[in-house]
Amino acid sequence: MTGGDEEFETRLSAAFGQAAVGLGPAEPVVLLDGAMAAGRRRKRGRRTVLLAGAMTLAVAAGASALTLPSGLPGRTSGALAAASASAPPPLDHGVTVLLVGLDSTTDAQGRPAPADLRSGELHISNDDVDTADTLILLHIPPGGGSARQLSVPRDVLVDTGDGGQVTVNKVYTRAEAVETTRLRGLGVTGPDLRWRAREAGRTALIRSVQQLAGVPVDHFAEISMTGFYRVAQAVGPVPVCLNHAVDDHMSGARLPAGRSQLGPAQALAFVRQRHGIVGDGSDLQRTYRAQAFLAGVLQKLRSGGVLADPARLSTLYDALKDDLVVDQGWNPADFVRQVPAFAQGRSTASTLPIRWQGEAAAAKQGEAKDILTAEPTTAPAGGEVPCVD
Amino acid sequence: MGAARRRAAFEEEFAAFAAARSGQLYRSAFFLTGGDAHLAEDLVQDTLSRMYTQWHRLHRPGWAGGIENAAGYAQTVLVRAFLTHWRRRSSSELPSQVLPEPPARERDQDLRLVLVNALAGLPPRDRAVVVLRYWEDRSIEETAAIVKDSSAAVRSRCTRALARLRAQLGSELAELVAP
Repeated sequence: MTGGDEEFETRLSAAFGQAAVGLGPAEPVVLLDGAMAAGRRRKRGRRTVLLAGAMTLAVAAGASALTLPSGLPGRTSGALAAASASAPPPLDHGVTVLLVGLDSTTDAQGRPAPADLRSGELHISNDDVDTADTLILLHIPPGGGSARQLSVPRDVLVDTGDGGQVTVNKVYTRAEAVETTRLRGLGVTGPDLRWRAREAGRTALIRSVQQLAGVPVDHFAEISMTGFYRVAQAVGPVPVCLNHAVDDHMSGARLPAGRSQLGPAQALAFVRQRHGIVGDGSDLQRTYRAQAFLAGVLQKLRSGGVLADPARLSTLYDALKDDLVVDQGWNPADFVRQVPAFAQGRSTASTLPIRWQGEAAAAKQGEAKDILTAEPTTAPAGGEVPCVD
Repeated sequence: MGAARRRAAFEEEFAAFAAARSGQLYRSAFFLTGGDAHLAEDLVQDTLSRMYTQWHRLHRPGWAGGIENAAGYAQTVLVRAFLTHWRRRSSSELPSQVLPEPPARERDQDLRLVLVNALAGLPPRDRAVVVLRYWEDRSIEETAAIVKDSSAAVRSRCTRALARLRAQLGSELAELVAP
């Protein structure tokens, strides 16, 4: 031993100082850009929700009124088949659909959103990252009765399959990143790289949700933020009802109390706002907004307008061409034809109960399955849009 | 519009702060993680992103709820982010193999490797205490506040960690550290 305790302490301090010389992040600019982007995302993230479900179903409902040559436009994904090996045993009845809202500014082909959408009304930054921000499990019992919608909070922890746990909204991103790195190493680039990486993200997400819910996913649909916006444009004003007026400059939500009609930008702000929402300002509040918006979209479609207007319909289908991804074996149009109750808005919406653990949340095993297969306890809403905070 | 200008100013101010602090945060993170450069970068990003969301409190010192010392606060956020990260993964994952990044100068490189490997052998909470005390020169009390522990607990953690470090690298430090 050299010297006493104090001498060692002094030497240790000096060692830190010396070891720190020339030590710094490999790419400081990248690090800082990433930090700024993450900060914006975090800030907005607490308010971000994307309602793919609403849009997918809206369009599916719309499609049901038409005779289309080959179902919906959009791209088909093989992720469901890839995840089926690990699927839980099937429920004895009914169909379960996973609806994913992707917080991404690129479309299904991997092309960036038009600049005017990025910097203008969308109130988003230019982060190029995909997170699954809205997850809704939809269960239709046999015979096409009243549907059950279950929102999965994005902060809920799921197993990664390799022994770790992450929040469910990161599953897609992580798998996508790993696959991107792997494919790049193989020389894959461009839209092909983007698509295949996202397929890996989808597969991982479906696996995690199946595992969390204990329910096999029969069908899968994904829409991006850009798609949401474009579709909202095509559908036209969507009725919603607020208990309180809101004015949130971060998400751009500025709405009066009571009933209003949302244009595309306000629609997006409505489902994304978190800051300044009456209530606990948590992610759960947003899922209520999402559910309310879905009800509004369905009501809008039922009350006509879009379906009867060929110009609007063709805009809608154009929007979906680039922004909707569904699984290979699914035609949402047929699906909606088969479950008219859903298209008519007869469904019960709920949110998966969670327990907070620090900044993440855990769900009770089996709870999702119980909710999805339970007999509805409340009368399914059919007509008016519900008012939310 | 006023709001847009305010927002631009906010961004600019924060960007300047982040640029000024990122190096120091990274160095602390590098030591905290026992030389995991990748995780260190993640922690710095995480810390700065948290600071971003708190910035309205930070650039108004003197306000009720304002934070006086943004730089010091960032270091605290970093250590806590590290401990949270560790807590979260410790239930399910084993410590990963440490891969120190290859640094520049030979002597310092040896020293950095030796130091970081010894740190990596400590339990994460002990490591946090050592980094705070001997890298950031924090007092026992400050350290205790940051890791949310009692001063007595920090003191005993520190003694235990020092004994281990000393057994492992006492002689090497004597050789490598410039007097």
